[in-house]
Amino acid sequence: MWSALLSATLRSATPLTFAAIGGLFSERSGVVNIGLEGMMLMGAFFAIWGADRTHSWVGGLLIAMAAGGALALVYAYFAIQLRADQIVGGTAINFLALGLTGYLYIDIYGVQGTPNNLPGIPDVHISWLEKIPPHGLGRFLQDSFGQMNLMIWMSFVLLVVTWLLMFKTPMGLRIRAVGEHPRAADTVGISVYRVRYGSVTLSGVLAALGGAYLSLGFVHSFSENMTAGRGFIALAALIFGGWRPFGAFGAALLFGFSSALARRLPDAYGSSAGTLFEALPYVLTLIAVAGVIGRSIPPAAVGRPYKKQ
Amino acid sequence: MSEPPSEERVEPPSPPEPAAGENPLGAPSVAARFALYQRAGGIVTPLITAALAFAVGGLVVLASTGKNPLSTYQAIFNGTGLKWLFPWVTGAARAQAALNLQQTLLLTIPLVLTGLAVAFAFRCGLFNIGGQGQYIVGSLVAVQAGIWFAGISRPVHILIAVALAAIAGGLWAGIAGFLRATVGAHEVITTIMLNWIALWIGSYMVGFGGPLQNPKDNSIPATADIAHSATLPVFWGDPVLQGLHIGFFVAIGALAVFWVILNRTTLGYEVRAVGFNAEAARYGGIAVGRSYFTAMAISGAFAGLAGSLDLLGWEFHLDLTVVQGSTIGFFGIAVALLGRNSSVGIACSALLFGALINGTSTRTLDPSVFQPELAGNLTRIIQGLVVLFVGADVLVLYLWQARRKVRRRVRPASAKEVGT
Repeated sequence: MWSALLSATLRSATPLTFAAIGGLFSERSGVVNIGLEGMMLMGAFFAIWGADRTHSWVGGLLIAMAAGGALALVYAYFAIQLRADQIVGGTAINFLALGLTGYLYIDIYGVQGTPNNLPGIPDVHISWLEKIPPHGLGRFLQDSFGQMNLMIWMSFVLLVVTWLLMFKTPMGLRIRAVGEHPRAADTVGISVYRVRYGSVTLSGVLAALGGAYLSLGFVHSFSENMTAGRGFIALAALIFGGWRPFGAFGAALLFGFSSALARRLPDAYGSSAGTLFEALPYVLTLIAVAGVIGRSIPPAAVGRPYKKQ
Repeated sequence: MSEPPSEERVEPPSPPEPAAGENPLGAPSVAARFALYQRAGGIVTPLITAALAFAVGGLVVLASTGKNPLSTYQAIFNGTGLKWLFPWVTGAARAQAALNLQQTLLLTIPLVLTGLAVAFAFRCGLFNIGGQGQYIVGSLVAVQAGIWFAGISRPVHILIAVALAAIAGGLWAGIAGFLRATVGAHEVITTIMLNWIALWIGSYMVGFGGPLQNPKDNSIPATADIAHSATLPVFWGDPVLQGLHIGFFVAIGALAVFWVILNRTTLGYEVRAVGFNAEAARYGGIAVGRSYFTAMAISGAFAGLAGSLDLLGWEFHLDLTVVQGSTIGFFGIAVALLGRNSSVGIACSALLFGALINGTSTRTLDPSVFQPELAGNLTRIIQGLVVLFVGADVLVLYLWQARRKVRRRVRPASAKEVGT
């Protein structure tokens, strides 16, 4: 029972983790990314479309990444080059992705829905976990981690890589410098635009991977607006986690847990009370930004367009 | 990557304060440039923006289905009922157009109000993305008030329900205003969170076993119908066929109230002052925090009002699908941005989007011309493009300026590009 809840939590948390890490890159470089939801949705649709066309899940993932990156590039052009308001631009990206994926879905697949023989992202089978003593622990580990989707493992890898990149490499230092004080970064020869373009595009690629996990990794189909606000939960996780990789991951786990609970409670109590748990991520984030428990503070230059001198 | 060699983008367009002297054609004076910005910004930018969005939408239609975009847009236009305004349309066509126009205006009412909600906060320098949540809260309160006070006289009942919904919407948005004023929490983040909190609380309330679910029929997740005394009277069309209700005049009144508050009251003056420059306003003795709260509360009241008018006017009960699927509040963002946060502009852009939503609905669009499911998504694409282009009015201004440059370049052949 606990292992079922844990694996359900991990399943719910994975798309959030991908998108939140994506948001981390963008926001750490000083560009607010409200458009995560739309970029996830692009990934969700194009993963299915790509897998359908290339007959392989790898192709699906690659096309999803390209689609998310392309949408993010459009956003980057408006937010960085044209210095458009980033909130307005992000909102536009969400509308645009919703319309575009819905349009293409109806246009290509019509009312029958996506084909049901798509090559999904495989699970990773690990059989030796059960042998870990004591037996109860081994059983628990086996049930929790023995059958996980490849994407969940990839999210763990991404997390470590992101942490190393962001805090242990010169490139991470550059990204953070641009997000904190772009003028100073520019003065020492860092190209603010290049760093921001790269970071925003990467955020779209990662968010799209989160969306691809939802569609190609989990339900193996696409439906209109299937992300249903997960991009915003990811944004909440990023904020709740204080713009740090492991903080965001912890928040994603917590929020994944609450939505796993929300989906299980109605079975137990036969009422809609469980849906209140769906609101938990947002309530917690509201409390976090209000500063009741350890105020979470964004990068200093986030949301401000930079103009070269 | 920072300077890609693209012909389209010769240099990053730089109004409103471009580096002077770079212009090889002789830099116009600051005043002239400002005048251009004003003129172009006032009416030309929204027009170009809308035209661009529709043009790109047309390209999508052409590229994906191969259908003529113009005939598609014409079919959409036929569904909006705006033909009713033409005196030469008569007979059955006129009756049909009247029916369609009633639906268009029914959609325009909440769009005006959610547009005003976004615009009022904008004028105070705040971005209220939470119109959707405030709309849901308003709907929830209105449905409960509509069920509760059954038996009292109709005007009083309506007034109570509408007022309570507006207050509830105002308080919901007021949370974001309060947090901004006290701890400085960014209103974009708080209103996004409040949106989803409202959505899930609403889902709980009207959902299976929820406190507001219809006690007489627990097979569907929806509330009971409101009492007849709470329904808004219909003044144009058949009440059974969703005629146009008196909320239409409330929306027009709200446009006037918006203008009066902003331009003729101390409160509005303070709100605008804070919107222009919060620090200067503070230095001038304006309580900036209080302005944030008031602006958000008034903004939320508009959105709450929108929720109540939809509910009392034609929905009559609150459905789970409406709580979770409605996007009227988000359309308000596009309405306000395209309308440049002014009363007249919001009225026009709300009508545009109301017509677009109605014209692309399964109810009005001729499926033999264009699939309504596709057209509904086309509306969303156009909405997204409008917001994208409005957000980058620099781009539109740039195009506008390029047009002028081209015109000027034609005359003096000697004027050469000196290099960028």
